[in-house]
Amino acid sequence: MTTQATPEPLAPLERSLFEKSSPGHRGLSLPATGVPEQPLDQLLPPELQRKESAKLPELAQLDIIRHFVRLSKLNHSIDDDFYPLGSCTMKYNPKVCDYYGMLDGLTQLHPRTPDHLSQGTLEIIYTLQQYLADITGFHQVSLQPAAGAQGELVGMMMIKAHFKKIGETQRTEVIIPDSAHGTNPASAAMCGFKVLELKSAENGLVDVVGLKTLLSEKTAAVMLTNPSTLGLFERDILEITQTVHDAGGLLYYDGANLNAVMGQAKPADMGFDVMHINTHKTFATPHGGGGPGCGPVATTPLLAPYLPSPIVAFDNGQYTLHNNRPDSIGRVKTFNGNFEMMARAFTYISAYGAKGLAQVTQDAVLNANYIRKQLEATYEIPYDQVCKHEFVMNSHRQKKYDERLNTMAIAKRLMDYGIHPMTVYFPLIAHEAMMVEPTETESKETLDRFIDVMRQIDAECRNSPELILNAPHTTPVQKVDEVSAARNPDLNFYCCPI
Amino acid sequence: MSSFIKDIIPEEGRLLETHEYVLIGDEDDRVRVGISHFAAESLGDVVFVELPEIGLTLEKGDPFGSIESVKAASDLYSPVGGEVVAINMKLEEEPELVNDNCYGDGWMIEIQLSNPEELNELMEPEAYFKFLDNTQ
Amino acid sequence: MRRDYTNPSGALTDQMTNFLPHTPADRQALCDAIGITSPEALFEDIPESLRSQLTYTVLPQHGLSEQELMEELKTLADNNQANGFANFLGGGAYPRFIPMGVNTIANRSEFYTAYTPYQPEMSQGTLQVGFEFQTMISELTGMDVANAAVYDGGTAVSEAAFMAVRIKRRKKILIAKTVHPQHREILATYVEGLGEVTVETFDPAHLDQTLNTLDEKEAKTVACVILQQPNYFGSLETTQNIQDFCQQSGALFIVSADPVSLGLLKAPSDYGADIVVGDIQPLGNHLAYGGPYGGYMACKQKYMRQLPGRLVGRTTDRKGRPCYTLTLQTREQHIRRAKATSNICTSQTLNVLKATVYLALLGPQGLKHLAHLSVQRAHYLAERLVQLDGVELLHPKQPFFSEFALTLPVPVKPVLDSLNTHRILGGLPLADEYPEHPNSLLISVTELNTPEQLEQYIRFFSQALSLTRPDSQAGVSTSPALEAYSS
Repeated sequence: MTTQATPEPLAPLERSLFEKSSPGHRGLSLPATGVPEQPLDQLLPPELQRKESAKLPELAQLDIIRHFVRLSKLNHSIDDDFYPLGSCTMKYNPKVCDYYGMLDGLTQLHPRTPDHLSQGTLEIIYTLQQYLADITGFHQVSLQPAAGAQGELVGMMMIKAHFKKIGETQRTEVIIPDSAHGTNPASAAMCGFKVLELKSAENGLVDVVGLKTLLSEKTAAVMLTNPSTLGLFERDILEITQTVHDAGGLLYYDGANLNAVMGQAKPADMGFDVMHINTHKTFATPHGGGGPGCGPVATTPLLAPYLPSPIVAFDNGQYTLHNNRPDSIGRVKTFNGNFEMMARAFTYISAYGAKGLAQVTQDAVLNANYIRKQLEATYEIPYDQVCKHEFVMNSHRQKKYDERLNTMAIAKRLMDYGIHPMTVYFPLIAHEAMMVEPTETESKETLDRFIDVMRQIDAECRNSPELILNAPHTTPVQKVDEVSAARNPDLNFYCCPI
Repeated sequence: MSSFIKDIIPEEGRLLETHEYVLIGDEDDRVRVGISHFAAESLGDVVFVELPEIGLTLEKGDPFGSIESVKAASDLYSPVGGEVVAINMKLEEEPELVNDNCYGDGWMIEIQLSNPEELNELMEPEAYFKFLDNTQ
Repeated sequence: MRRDYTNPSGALTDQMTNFLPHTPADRQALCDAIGITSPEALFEDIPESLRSQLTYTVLPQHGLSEQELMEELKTLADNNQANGFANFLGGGAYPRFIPMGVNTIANRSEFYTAYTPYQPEMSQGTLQVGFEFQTMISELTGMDVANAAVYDGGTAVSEAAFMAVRIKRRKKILIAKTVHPQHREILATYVEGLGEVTVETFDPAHLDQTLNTLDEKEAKTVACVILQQPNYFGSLETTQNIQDFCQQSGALFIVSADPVSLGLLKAPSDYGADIVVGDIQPLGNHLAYGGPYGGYMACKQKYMRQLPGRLVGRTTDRKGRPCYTLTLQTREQHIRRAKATSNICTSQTLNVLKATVYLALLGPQGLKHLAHLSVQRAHYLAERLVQLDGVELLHPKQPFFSEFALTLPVPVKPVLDSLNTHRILGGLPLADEYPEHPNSLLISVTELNTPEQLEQYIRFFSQALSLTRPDSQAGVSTSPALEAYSS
């Protein structure tokens, strides 16, 4: 029950398929059975058969295609305009990587095809394993995890399996900075670890003294993102990893920010033991509106035996899937991982080579620092120093013009300029955070336009705050009622609000 | 933040640092539990309150449910020990009562106290306001 | 043959900035604005020892041009010799016809280069697709609500089991041994982290034995019973006894179902399911050597708040216009952190889009026809094959859908190798996962297995059988005879 008055109902932007459906329409012609048929009731017991068809929509093909094309136009996308989303690395997805989808030899291969008939696919997987090991400095890679969060879970499972194997089962605690991604504590908890939160130091970096007080013979691991979610590189990383190892703990590297160091430094050299990679961030596999992903896990010889199966090996001129690995944590996904993402990441890495990837990082960091410098006079930047691929600013100065102004209002106003909002209210340790990550694929012209827009918004905050508070004004829908959506969830066309 | 939110707590209210209150009713050993106005406003529009089953026995500090707004969720902790003897069924349909009238229709559970002495360990309204000022 | 990637010919030595827009002059302008002489200055906070030891052993120094990349990928694709084979492999991933319209839509970069729809004002397209998908899955399964979606059918089984553990606050999971073996492996991996939760496997053919060993008190410790329908062998399970057990013990009944089969088979809600899961790969998604696919999860309304993954809800905007938004997000990791229902952040949105377009194109009659066609063709093939001497159905008493298991009078491998030489992927050997069935084979039939392919299968299968029999005079090579089809 909502208390607000119901406004005059407006037409939806695009009626749903179910509203457009009318009986008898077909979207596709299908072949005939083509073999002598038997009465269905003799093959399937009648009591197991559906009496009434599922209420799927019935439309002609053109109407279906128009429906989805119109829906696509209601989306913002990288190919449409800028996405300065901190921590998400929304870079250009090169079109050549789409070529994968046109190769039947790759797209139509069944996951259980015998190895000797799948050599091309296995070669791509094997080579990508090698490339990622080379880029991160680690010894071995498994490409099985379906996404970064699953890769992270796998890494923590491997650490748990290791301590079980060596009989140090008292190591039940995982230390995570308060600036970490939400997945870190969620993954550690899913492995049964107790999460200890490490308060960041004044400068936003790991508080080495605080870390030492949390370390004990109970410490299984410390999970870090480097550069941190504030975009700051941990200068003392070598001391930090040494300290944790001295306490008998292991170090997990959250690969979310790999774009900031790739080609410049390797996580394994920093002293980490295991990491995951988000291919949709660093290696430009499409975000897809929220998936699919791929979360390769890379690790040292110490933890390699625990990697999930299968792994692709190369012996005697043949690539093979290795399943028989007795210490492996087991399987976390059906079949062999998200191969399409692997093929795309393989294409991307091959397009750049080592020098190109170093340039990627350099340009990503250059772009972030350029925006930071250009905006520091306008917006407060709480940790104002050289950043890596992203930085955090806030709306404190704008709040002084009008107490009602906040980060969310500014973010929503960006939409009116055709730019997707930056990441807001994350990391949690920065108040009213606006986290900006331009990536390396944006031109100086785009960066300058963003800077101009942000200055313009600041002027609007000062001169016409109502304009900001009621934003956005030009998007297909405005101020969506998320409260009613959550109070009375309406998740199914045929099932009235719950 | 506390300075923006006018929280008027009934005099007989007693509070926990995690913002749950206890109100003593007509029967001495039976109390109502909810969350303070400050807590409700900090969460924003409440969209869902998860409550326990009647009959559950709680120790002081035990979680008894959770509360959600659109963008935040928080566990609820019992300020006192005892048995849950009633729950506010109205919140299932109207979670906004927590925002509108947290000390009245927006109450959450009633507890039959196992140790009335525990009430003395809670903060009086004045102490709670002081606590809020110190933590902001 | 392993190519040497470290020295590609024609490397882009002087224009390695493949997709980077900056010219050297742009970079200098940026440096000037920042107040540094070179970008190197931005990396001084990285310890020198880390930067100086950078070397690569496998990664090529330079990138390839677009043309070379495409040639490279084409060569690799051609190295998959299975390309173009008649495909009778199933076991949880099914070769099905993908209508052109599916990829016409999925290849629109407005969909595939979009971000997660956290900002509803800029994501109504993705959101509405999610809502339409949820409705379609709810319809097919007979459930009230569905999510959109988790990694794949296998992880959906585990997520459903953990939902039941949370809802019932019980610690025992019962899973049929006829559930996909890899799905059971995933459950075993995940359950490691859950402390006291135990998984027990039962044989549905002897379910009463399992249930009888549980006294009333133990029965009340069971959080859920998990069944796959049709099961891994393609057979249809009986469900009444599980439904009864769940009703008496309070355990949740979880069903894993191939969505195409639901075009013809009863919705699991009709036989008492509380949670229904499955893989959406057969709905317009490429086989792609195993992924990406997507796992759907649907449940009764009262369990909605324990459903992991993303949910789209219908609402209105400030002008009263109907629209869509992500909802019940407090279940998710970015808010709940260590207390989230799952750590999942991905929702396989692009796979969901393909499935939604696919189901829209097929409609109720199309899906039913496809299921019917698969059943008919599978039974035709099975009946022809069991006429061969010594060939039997592994489960002759159970009805099957479009996949069936045969027991052969000879070992399976040489028969499959022989079929390979005729460009046929003949099925999956069952011995690895079910050692009690050493000579059994799982065969899947879909609309892609044309009547001609069925006849060829029968012919070459029968030939392989006679050549492989121990009493055969001819004998056949048991090693894969690559040269026979490499041209």
